[in-house]
Amino acid sequence: MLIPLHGIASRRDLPLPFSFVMAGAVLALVISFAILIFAWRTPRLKRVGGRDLPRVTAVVDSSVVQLIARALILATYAWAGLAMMAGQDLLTNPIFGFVFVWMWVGLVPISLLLGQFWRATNPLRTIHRGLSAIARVDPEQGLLSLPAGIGVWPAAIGLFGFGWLELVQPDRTTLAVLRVWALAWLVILVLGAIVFGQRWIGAADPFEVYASTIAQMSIFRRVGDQLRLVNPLAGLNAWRAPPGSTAVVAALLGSTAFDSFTNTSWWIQTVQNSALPTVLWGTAGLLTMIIIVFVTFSLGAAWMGRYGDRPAWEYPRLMVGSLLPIVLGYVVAHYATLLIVEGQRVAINFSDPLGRGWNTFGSAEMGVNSAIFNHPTGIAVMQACAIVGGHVFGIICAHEKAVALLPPDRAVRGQMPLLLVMIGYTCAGLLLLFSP
Amino acid sequence: MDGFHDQVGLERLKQMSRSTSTIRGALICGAVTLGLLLNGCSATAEPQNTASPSAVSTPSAPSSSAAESPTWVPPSSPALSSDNPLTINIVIAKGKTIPNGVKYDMRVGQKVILNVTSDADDEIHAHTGGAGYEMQVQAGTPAKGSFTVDSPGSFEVESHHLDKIIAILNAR
Repeated sequence: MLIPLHGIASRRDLPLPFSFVMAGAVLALVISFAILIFAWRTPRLKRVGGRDLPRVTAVVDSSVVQLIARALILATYAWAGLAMMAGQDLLTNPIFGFVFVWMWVGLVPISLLLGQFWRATNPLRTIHRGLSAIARVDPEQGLLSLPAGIGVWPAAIGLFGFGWLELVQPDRTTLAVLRVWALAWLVILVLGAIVFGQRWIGAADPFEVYASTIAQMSIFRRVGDQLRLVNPLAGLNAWRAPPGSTAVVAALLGSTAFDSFTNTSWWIQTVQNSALPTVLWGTAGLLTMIIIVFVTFSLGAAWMGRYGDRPAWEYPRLMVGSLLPIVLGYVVAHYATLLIVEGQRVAINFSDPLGRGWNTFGSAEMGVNSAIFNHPTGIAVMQACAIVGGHVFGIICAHEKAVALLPPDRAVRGQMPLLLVMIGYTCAGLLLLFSP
Repeated sequence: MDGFHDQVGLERLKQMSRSTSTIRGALICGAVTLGLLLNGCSATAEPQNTASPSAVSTPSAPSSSAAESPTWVPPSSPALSSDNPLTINIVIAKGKTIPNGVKYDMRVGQKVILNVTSDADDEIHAHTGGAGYEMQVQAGTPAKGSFTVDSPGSFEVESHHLDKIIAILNAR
């Protein structure tokens, strides 16, 4: 199989028809201002609500279930690790799809459907727990204590790192390169957990932080000790974002946007005509996209400080949850077909990690069902709906927060800049999918 | 010519980084629109580039068959049908390719013909789903290859040795 220049999939989705871009943008504008002008004036989602699930909680929390789940996930990673360390340096090696499709894209549906499953079964935590048990130390206890204000800032840097690996790193689909990154991930996280205690993993593992951020929109949410079935919007509204969350969300949104941006003719021609190395362009472009998102959102949210009674710098973190539906919309629009089609290929190749003709899980003989590609209009509709839908839910969340944080007569004025920022993200997302 | 391109590239990079300091978030939209406009300009300039490759940034490119027949298929060409093959004349010289990342609209099932002239040995890859299409090119010897695209999607045609995207085929 030929290694594509851009990532692992040999095919991208067709550009979004321009009529879809226009319709989507108009729809986003109209709905945004309709919500702003006509919607509720007092908070409606103050309480999480939902239904307690005592029996589900008992099953999930039982040590046997936790042990089995952790062991299964650890075994899955060990199997992938076998492919990485001993497999062939070919695209048929499942490790590439395992990292870029199953882990990176798959964590989104897993976290939406199963809540904090990723955090509960994170193999890094399992390894660290095992090491702690051998050394007879408390996994929570480290040598140094992590400053409270660090929040998820290390993970934001980690997410930039993964974005760089996914979109900029030359030869990212070769084993030598991937091994270095995987080793760095393992060593930084496990060593850090030994130094700072288990809390380090929750602060620095880009996958876990991405997953637990997306899980804020899950239908399952832990309230106190109980798991609850909740309205995802109410659950998201109850999220108390840790410090650095704005940077995490900016890294996610910025890297997804950059992925589309690198597919525009303008970018390709400019970079290929330039005497500067491609890596330099890629690094600068990726950073610029992330910084644009970070700065525009922070300023838009900080504007609320003029109308509320908190200092301006507190608002971005209070409002950042309202960007998550937009992140989800971007991710669905960009990666849904990749997950569906390439995800199958990983499942097939997973049976034969060393390329020796094994059929360990009986999946090696299966074919990839790529019938979805025969419905380009359906894909385009799905993409436009994901972007606009994410925008609408984002606006709803932002409005709810604004009426809760600002005096009623000032809520509309205070949230206006943020609304414009979000409309900007949505129009940009649609335009980038149009991919001129 | 290269210097000119670099200048333009730097100007654009500066514009992008300047826009990070602007206040209104809605400007991200504006920035993308700017990108669109800029792209529009380069896209309209492209047909001339492809039609006379030796006159553009590759003075030492061997004047080959590529110069004789026009290569550009306008995106919304009425002649777009699966009966007529899409011919792309490719000149690779001094580490650059013509066309350079140009997008072509085409039909599923339409035949794609590549006429390649290169000043260095190269491999042309077309990632058309599945195993893809691969074509060997020897320095100075015009080579011709063809393939068809069987299902809808956006596919890259690239120079393997240069790691550069020559064309993107949008098959509908």
